[in-house]
Formats: sequence, structure tokens, C-alpha cells
Amino acid sequence: MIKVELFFVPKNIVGREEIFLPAKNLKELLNKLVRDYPELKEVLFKKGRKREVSDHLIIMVDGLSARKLKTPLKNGATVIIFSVISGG
Amino acid sequence: MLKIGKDETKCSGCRICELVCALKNTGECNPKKSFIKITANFPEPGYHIKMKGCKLCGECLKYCPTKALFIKEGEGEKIETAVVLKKESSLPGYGGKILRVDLSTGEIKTEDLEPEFARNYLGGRGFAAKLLYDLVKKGTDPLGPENKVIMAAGPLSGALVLANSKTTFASKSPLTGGYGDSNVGGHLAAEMKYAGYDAVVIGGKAEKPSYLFIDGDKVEIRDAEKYWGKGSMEAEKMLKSDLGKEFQIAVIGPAGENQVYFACISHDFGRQAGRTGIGAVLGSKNLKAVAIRGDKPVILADQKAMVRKTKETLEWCMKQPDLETWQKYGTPSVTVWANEIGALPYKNFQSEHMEDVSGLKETVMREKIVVHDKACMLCPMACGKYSHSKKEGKYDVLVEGPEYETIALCGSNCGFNDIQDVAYNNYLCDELGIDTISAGGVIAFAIECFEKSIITKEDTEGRELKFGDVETFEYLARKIAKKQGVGKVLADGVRLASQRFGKGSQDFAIHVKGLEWSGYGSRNALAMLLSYLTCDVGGHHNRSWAITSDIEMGRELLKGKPERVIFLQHARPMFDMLGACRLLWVELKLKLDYYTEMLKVVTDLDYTLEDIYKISERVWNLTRAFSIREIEGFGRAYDTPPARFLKEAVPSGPTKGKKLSMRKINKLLNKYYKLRGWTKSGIPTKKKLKELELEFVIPDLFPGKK
Repeated sequence: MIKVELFFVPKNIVGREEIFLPAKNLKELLNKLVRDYPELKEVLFKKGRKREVSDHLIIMVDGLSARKLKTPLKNGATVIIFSVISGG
Repeated sequence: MLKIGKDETKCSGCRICELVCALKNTGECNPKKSFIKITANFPEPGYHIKMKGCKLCGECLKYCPTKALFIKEGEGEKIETAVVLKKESSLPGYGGKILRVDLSTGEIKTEDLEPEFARNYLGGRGFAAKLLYDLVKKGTDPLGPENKVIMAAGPLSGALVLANSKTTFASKSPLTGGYGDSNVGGHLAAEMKYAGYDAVVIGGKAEKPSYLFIDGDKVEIRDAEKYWGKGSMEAEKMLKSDLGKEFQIAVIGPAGENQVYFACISHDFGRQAGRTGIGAVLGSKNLKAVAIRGDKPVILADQKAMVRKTKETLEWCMKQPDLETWQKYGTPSVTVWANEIGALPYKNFQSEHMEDVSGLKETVMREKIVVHDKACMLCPMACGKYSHSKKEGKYDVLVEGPEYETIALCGSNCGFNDIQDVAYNNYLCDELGIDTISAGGVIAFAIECFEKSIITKEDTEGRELKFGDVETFEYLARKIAKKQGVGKVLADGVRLASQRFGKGSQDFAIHVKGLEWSGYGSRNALAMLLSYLTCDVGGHHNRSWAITSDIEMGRELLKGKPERVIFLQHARPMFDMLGACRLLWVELKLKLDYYTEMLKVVTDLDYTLEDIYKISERVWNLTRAFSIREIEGFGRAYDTPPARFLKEAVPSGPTKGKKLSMRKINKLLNKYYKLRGWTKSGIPTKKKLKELELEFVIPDLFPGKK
């Protein structure tokens, strides 16, 4: 099971800050998120096409930045997903 | 016939409707000509919407970002857009005047804004930096009459450009001894432009408590006896009541009057130019406030294009999925995220993570205390949150905020996990007139000193100082503002206080260049660290906010970080020169080119982004030069982190075990200085200064050398 922590826009769309999902890689994880929350498609993917991660999004897998959809996920991994911000 | 519906509970006070109405019906970029007026109820939450002489064209309805104005029934009357006001202006977009006030002699004069000055320094921070460099002589006492306070608006302020009313205040900082500036949102900069001024220069010292009254061309130094000693918000309320709600007010609290080194300037009931202690400089001049109003139009280079582009941009903003998040929660959204990535300061930066942050969540804040959304001038985002915090028998206050920085410094850094308490701390700082960032740093430092027996109950009238304790926070904040007891030492900021206290307290005095470190722990974020170390005013995040770059690039990697920081140090201060807020840029995905396009249609200045970055670099080198001129030994020795970050590893959270090394810091600084064209000591070279047309700085930086 993967622990997904969401911040900013993805969190607001999902309405929760934490979700647990089974997934073998990032592609599977993001697709499952879009399946459950279709509004996320536009936020997670470039031009909403599911081929590349949006430039406006940062994903961390166990503390490290990950952008490639084939990034493998180990069972028990923590994935942090947030939309880019400019800081206050 | 059109019937317009009004829902005042939804109005965020952005006043887009006012400007759109004036442009449509009179052709003037001048909200005083509008048939609709938005007035704030502050300190009570919310706004009044009043219409008088409305022609029912319905133009305002098309722009209202919160749907506070809506069609009840019918359609708008078809009326011709008024003819664009034609008026010759050699500098469209600018007010065209600089106001100079000498409080010692009472002399008030205006001078024309020189086109070359405008072209080379753009406005806002650029104007402030150049005026300060020229008008403050080397060695000036920051709290003496010779120091100046510059208040400057940008070229976009006052025009129909979204989120456009940032005002820069600059002065020689009493806290750092070097260049200081800070900016504030709200409505002040736009009003300066409607009064016809791009900058106001305040020097000298008034004989008695005074305020500066500006109503267009009518400028007076007026008696402020009745306002002196009042809290910032109370004084603002009194001034608005005495002068009229159209006046925009910049005001200091008791801490500014008492010249606390981190006193701030407040505006619009809860917004502050907080950093570097410029409130103390106004206090030293016996100046309680500046009240400003104007009814002149801003002359635009291409008014039609400005209206069209702004309409398109607003439509774009309204479609962004990000808008709702920022509208609903504002910067407090950052708190939990900062904690999860290991950047949230905890107990005087002993850690960068807090075990339980549930009481500070943005959702908890929205649910428990937020009562109204509050926008700055022409901003569809309205990220400002107006809150009501109440605990029976303890406090019952209205306050704007808390913003993320206040939550981090007056919240977690002081050991709080209760948003109501943080909002009360925020209120205390605002009313007393102290910067919440520095105040949170200073108070956390004092509590740690108490825990380590460096200060004792003898210093605190028998009181125990505790983290997470509202009474401790209130006691210290009030003592600081009045400069009483231990507060007298703390009022000078952590650098000087730690020098007085000694006993190893310098190690945990968390500052850079004397300015208390703001809300991002950086022991495992080297780009963010470099941003703090090289920020021109000291430990501040706003010039280069690079922590997401750290995450993307690898937090401990050095490669590419100096380049990234320099880019941000040119791009972000661009907004401070233009007078615009940067939150629409990344959060709502506005391209940076948008700002050059708006600059062109407002002022006719045909600049590329590279041109503007060059001006930004010029200003960056000028502010560095100011501090080098004023502070013996300024340079690399001042671009250093607090000893705590080098000696103590983070004890918990995602960055557990991380601390800084001078080896890495030196590598970062060496590369940074090289890229900037500075010496290894961090001094701009003559070559670089000449390249940036800053030849006039050379004799100050290289005295006696040809």
C-alpha cells in the first residue's frame, strides 16, 4: 500500500490530505487517483493527457523528487503530491 | 431593465468594480469617478457596496471575482464606452512627481519624476533604493533626523492591472545597520498614484507627534497628539473616522513610537511593511502616520489594450483550479506542507518539524476563526483572511491573518499548536506595531534563554517563560513594545540581545545580518539557505523563495543552486519594482511575460524580461553597495548562518540528523559571487558596477583607489 499525501490544489480537489492506494509505479498511482477524482486529471498531467506529469506539479517519492511515470513504488512508500507555489 | 444584486458577505474589497465602472463610464482610470463605491467596515469584518448614479450598464458584474455583484434580472443597458481621457504625459502610467518632506523645517516640495530615473529604476523598490542611496549620507544614524524613509509606488499601481498595489518602504535599517526595505499590499500605492506621486521622501524630525496629510496637491504636517500612544489599528480607525474612508493610511504602533528595532508600518487594518524596522525610523521622526488620498486619473499609454488584457487575464485566473484553494485558505495552506517537508521552525529553530501540527491546519483555521476574505487592490484571489479569535476570559479579537509566516514564527516557533492563540499573538503584534516574523524569533529566543537560565525570573518580574503559552507571549510582546525590563534588551532584536546576554546565546540567535530568520528552516535545503544568506536585507525569504527548487533539484546538491537563486533574486524583486503582487504568477500560472506586456500598455516602456532583470540586478547591486558603504567589514562575513544550524543537527522529522557545513556554504558562496561578478569577499567589482551603470557607487566602495 502506498501512502499519498496531498497539498494545495490536489488536496482541495480530493478533500482529504491523505489517501492509501496500492500501486506498483507512479503511473498506476496517478491513474487511480484520476479514476477516483476525475478533476485531478487537469492538475496531475500536462495538458490533461496522462502522458507526462504537469509542470505545475511536484511529486516526492520517499523524500526525493520524481517526475517519470515509470518510477517504481515500493510497498509502504510515501508519495507527496503538491501543486507548485511561489511562497509567501 | 437590469436589476443588480448585491451580496456584501461575498465582497472581498478588491475594488475592481470601481475602476471598471470609471473606465467604462468616464474614460478615466480613476476610482473616484466611479458610480460604485466599496468601503470597508474595519475593524468589523466585511464591506459596504454603495451605488450612486449607476447607469445600469452592468460592466462591473462582468468583472466581480467573488460574485458579490450579480444580475438579479434583465440585461445591462447598452452604453457606449466613454472616450479615453487624452492627456499629454511624457511618462504615462506614472504619477509624475516625487514629494519631499522635511519634518524638521516643515519644508514640503515636489519635483518632477525624471524620465531617465524611471527608465533605469522602474519604480517601487528600484526608486526607493536609488533615492535612499543618494539622499542618506554615509554613517547616518538610522534613528537620527538625517535618515530618510522612502515610500514608493510602482508603475502598474493605480492602473487596471490585477493585484497591483504594493508599496515599498525603504530606510537605513536600525535593526541591521544596512539597507532595509519592506513592502505592503492593500490600497496605498494605488492611492499614491491617484494623488499624483510615485514616491514620498520623508526626512528630518518633527518637534512633536505629527502625521503627514496628503490630499492630492494639498500636503500638510499635522498634529498627531491624539493618535500618539494608540495601537496601529485603533489609530488607523481614528484617522479614517476623522479624515474619511477614502484616505489610505500607513501608521505605526506604540513600538514604532518607542523605536523598537523591529517595529513595522501597518496599513488597511492588518497588513504590514513588517521587516527591517522602518516603523522605528518613523517613530524617531515623531511621525505617527501618513494619510493619503487623491482624485487624479492615471494616464495610460494604451488604455484600451490595458482593459482588454486585464479582462482576458481575469477570465484566465477565474478558470484556474488553483484559485479556489488560495481564495479559501491563503498562505496558511503552506503550514502543514512545510512541516511535512521538514522546514517548519519549531521552538526557536531547535527543530524544523513539529510532531503534532493539527491545531495549525488551514482547514482548522478556516473553520474556527476566519470570518471574511480580504483582497488587496484589484486582486481576484483575496488570499487575506480576516479572523475572529475568542477564548472565554482570555481574549476576543478581530485580526487579519494569521498568514503562514506568522503561523510559523508566532506559532510553531514559539511552541503553539492552536490557531486561535496564534491569531491572538498576531493581533498583539499588529496592534503594538511589531513585525510578526522578528517578534516570533525574538520571543522564541527569549524563552530558550530562560530555559537555559541565561535570563531568570529576576529579569521577568518573577514570571516563568514557557513555549506555547499565550501569557508568556503577551508579556514579552508588551514589554518589548514599551521597552521595559527585559523587553528593553529584546527590542533591539536577537543579534544585539544575544551580545548583551552572552553565555552562548549567540549560537541560537537565529538571524542573518541582524534580521531575524523567517519561516523556512533550511538545514536541508541549500538553495533556500543560499537565498537567506545572500538576501540583501538579511534573513528574509521573499527575494528568492527556493525551497521547491531544492525539492526538485535534490536538497543537498549544490549544482545549479546559485544560478537558480540569482534568477529568483532578479525575477521576484521585479514585482516589487512594478508594484505588483507575485502570487498570481506561480499560483495562477501567469507568465512572467504578462508583466512586460502590462508595463508596455501602461507606460509605453518596451522592455523585455531580460531588460527588467538587468534593472533588478542593478538594484540588487545598489542595495548591496549601500550596506557595504554603511557597515565596516560587510560582505562574506555577513553572509553566514546562525551557529545553531552548523552545530546542531535537526532532532526530528523528515530532515532528522541534517545540519550545515561551512565547506558546502563556502562552495555555494564562491560560485554565487563569481556568477554575480563580485569578489571573493562578496563585493561587486568595478567592472560589474560599470556594466550596471552604477559608476557613482565606485568611490564609496573603493575609496582612495582610482
